[in-house]
Order: sequence, then C-alpha cells, then structure tokens
Amino acid sequence: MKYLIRSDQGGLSGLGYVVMFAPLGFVLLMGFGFNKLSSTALTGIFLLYSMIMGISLSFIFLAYTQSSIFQVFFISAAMFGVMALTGYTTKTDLTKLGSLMFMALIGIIIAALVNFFLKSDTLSYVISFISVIVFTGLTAYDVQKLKNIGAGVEGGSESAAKLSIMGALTLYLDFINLFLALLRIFGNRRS
Amino acid sequence: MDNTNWNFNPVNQPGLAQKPLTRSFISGVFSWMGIALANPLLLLMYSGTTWII
Repeated sequence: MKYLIRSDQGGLSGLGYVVMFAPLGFVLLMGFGFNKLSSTALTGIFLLYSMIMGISLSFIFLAYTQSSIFQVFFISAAMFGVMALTGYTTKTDLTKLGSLMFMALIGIIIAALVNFFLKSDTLSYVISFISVIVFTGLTAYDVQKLKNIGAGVEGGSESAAKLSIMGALTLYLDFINLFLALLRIFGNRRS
Repeated sequence: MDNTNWNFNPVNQPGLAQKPLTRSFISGVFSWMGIALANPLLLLMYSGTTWII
C-alpha cells in the first residue's frame, strides 16, 4: 500500500494511478482484442487483469474494517454459489431476466455517474441495493448461458477456449460487483 | 416450459460471440467505477491522518 500512496503529500503515487486505471485498460483490451488475440494471449491478459484488480481492491482495506470485509466476502461467496447453482439447475429460461438485468445495469451505471457529482448517500444506498439484485440475477443468467454455450461448442477448439475465458471474466466481474455492492451496504467503515 | 436451446452453437451464430464482450465490458466498467471512483478517487482527498472515504 505504501507504494500506491504518497505518504508525504497524500494522494496516489504514479504506481497508484497505474493500478487505478489499468483495470479499465485491460477490460477495453480484452473487449476490442477478442477476435484478434489468441486464447493464450487472452488468458495472460485475464490473469494480469485479475492481479491488478486484486491490488486495486486492496484499497477497500483502507475504507472498511477487516472483519466486515471477511464477513461480506463470505456472504457474497454464498450468494454467488447459490445463484450459480440455481442458474445451472433451473429449467426456466433466464434470457428475459438477463436482458432486464442488463438494462438495469446500464441504469445504475448512469445513476452512479450522476451520484458521483450529487454525492447523495441515499442514492448511493439505492444503487448498491439494486446492484445486489442485478448481479445475483446476472450470475444465474450467465451460468445458464455458459452451460448452453458449453453444450454447443466443440471442446478443445480455439473459439471454445476464447469463450471460456470470456465466461470466466463475466462471472469474475459478477462476483466482484456483488461483493462491492454488499460491502457498501453492510461494510463497517473505518472512522 | 423450458425454452432453452440446448443445441445452441455460438460458433455458427455470426455476431453472437460478441455479446459476452459487451457484458464483460459494461460489468468491467462498473466494477472499475465501484473501486476507482467510489473509493480511491476519494483517497485523493487524503489529508494527514484523516481518510474521507
């Protein structure tokens, strides 16, 4: 952490800025390079992305108490597991739910951007609450979608490898977003 | 009724393979906003011993 923050004047160090903006860069790279990059390159980028994301997430230890982070992590893991199992086993088609949740996700992104200027605690709480609903729904939808894709693609092919990495990325982001939303609701902030 | 198409093959569906990318991208941006905008950006307001997060 001491490498990310300038202890003398406060604020972020050069490395801190890299860690802050790199996750966005990696997501852009994976999105635009999907068709051009090989599955090995995509795997490498995904691993790098998750590493940088881990470092970036270390900031939450400054904002929340350690015990509340652990508690919220286990709650998130349990919710994620239950929803993933639901998505895998349910016979209901979750496509419509997925589309609805995706629209809600766009909505909360816009609301979050607006709230960045408004700085309303109530709106922040509402956004976090809707985020929990959205990402639990998206987890089930994504697992069902991946199950369907997995049944359709030829195992061992390049496209199967690429799709599995994108599937892993989608589920990883579902978990991270669910965890962050729950942390904003239940996490004990350091005073 | 189960409407799931179990024989769905994304490789044979032009354009469909791009859809997970859009989702990953949007989710990625949101997670970034959650971490970078909601927490570390406020770290810039760090002053002395007080964290305003």
